Amino acid sequence: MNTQTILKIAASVIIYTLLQVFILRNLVFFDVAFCFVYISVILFLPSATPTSTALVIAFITGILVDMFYNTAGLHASAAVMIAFIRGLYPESTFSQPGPGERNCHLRGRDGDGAFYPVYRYPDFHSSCVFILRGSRDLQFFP
Amino acid sequence: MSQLLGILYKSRHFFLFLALQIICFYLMSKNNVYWDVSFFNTTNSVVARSLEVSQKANEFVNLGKVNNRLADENAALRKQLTDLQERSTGIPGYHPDSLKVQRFEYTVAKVVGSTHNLTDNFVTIDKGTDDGVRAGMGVISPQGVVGQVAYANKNYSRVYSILHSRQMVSAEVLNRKLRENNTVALGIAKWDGTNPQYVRLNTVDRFKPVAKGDSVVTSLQNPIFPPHVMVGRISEVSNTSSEAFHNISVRLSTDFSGLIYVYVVKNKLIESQQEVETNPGIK
Repeated sequence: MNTQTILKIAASVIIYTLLQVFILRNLVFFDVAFCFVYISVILFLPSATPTSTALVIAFITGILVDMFYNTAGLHASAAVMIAFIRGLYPESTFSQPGPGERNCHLRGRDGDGAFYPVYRYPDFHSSCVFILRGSRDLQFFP
Repeated sequence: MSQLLGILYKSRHFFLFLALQIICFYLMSKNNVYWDVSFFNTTNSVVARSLEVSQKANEFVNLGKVNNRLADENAALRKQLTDLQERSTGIPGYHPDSLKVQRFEYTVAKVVGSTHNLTDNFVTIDKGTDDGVRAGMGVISPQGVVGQVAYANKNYSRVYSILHSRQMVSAEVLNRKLRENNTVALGIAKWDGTNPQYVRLNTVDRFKPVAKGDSVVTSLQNPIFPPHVMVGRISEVSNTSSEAFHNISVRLSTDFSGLIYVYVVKNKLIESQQEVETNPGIK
């Protein structure tokens, strides 16, 4: 991982967090349709990024968003979850090719199946957020 | 032992994940119960300040909406105020009918055009017959009297400004001496066509005590305007001994060059009052 990559990641963290916090926080359609664009930080990480680094980046982004949403830990937890699941799948399913890789993943190895999980991550993230939030509102936490 | 360490090393990602999740859940439970996490929420000064900036931008965008809402609220409050004033006349033995007390209604309108430097000045407003505006209704602004509706079509109305050669407003002077003597100094406010900031108050009896600085308001005998709406303040009083009336100049309280919102006043009983006043059967 060279300096350029690190700078790119830092920029993406800042830009997506600002976008989330200042613009999309106010765009909640009918009080139910949320938009969590900040998980793009994790989804667009270079595929060569080790899982530990991804976890830490996800945690930082999540905590930054949480600070503005007044939900300490909630988005961080969901984002860390995404970053962890990301590590369980083969690297080729990610959108950003590493050095020397060809950008051939869009078709997937066996039809759409291989690429399918990437599309599921936002769903998974939203589920995490809503389940955690629901349990928080219902005071399942001590 | 080394195998155990090897397993631990292999699953280091999982342990990091676990640690971070534990931190998250700790924060969540703490935030939920005590409300005392001072760093990871919006009371953090950096966060609070940036939220303030975004809130200010929001406010700026919403100013128009807020203006409309305030104007509506003002109209409602004005209605309540007139109702209350009408109810408490302070005259013993006189109990006004509730229908009469609530005869004035207000409609908020936005000024879309106005003149104030011609001989006959008009104000154009964005409410018409669709909103219940009819010719003859009074128009007031938050500062004071504006005029009377001259013509209304479906969506817009044209208003005779008080700065019009044919527009007159029945007015009275308010001061303590008049109140103590229990009299009213009635007059007719009319523009003389010179300075758009001043109108003349004619036909005020010269034996009535009026002085510079007294308020001039719409009178109780006025079917178009609610009583005691500000017209202006007396800026000059003069009379020669041979005249029957004071020569009064009134500085208007309404700024006609800066009109934004006005209220159209609807008197629900005006027809019945006019019917009584102009009944052809009585000579």
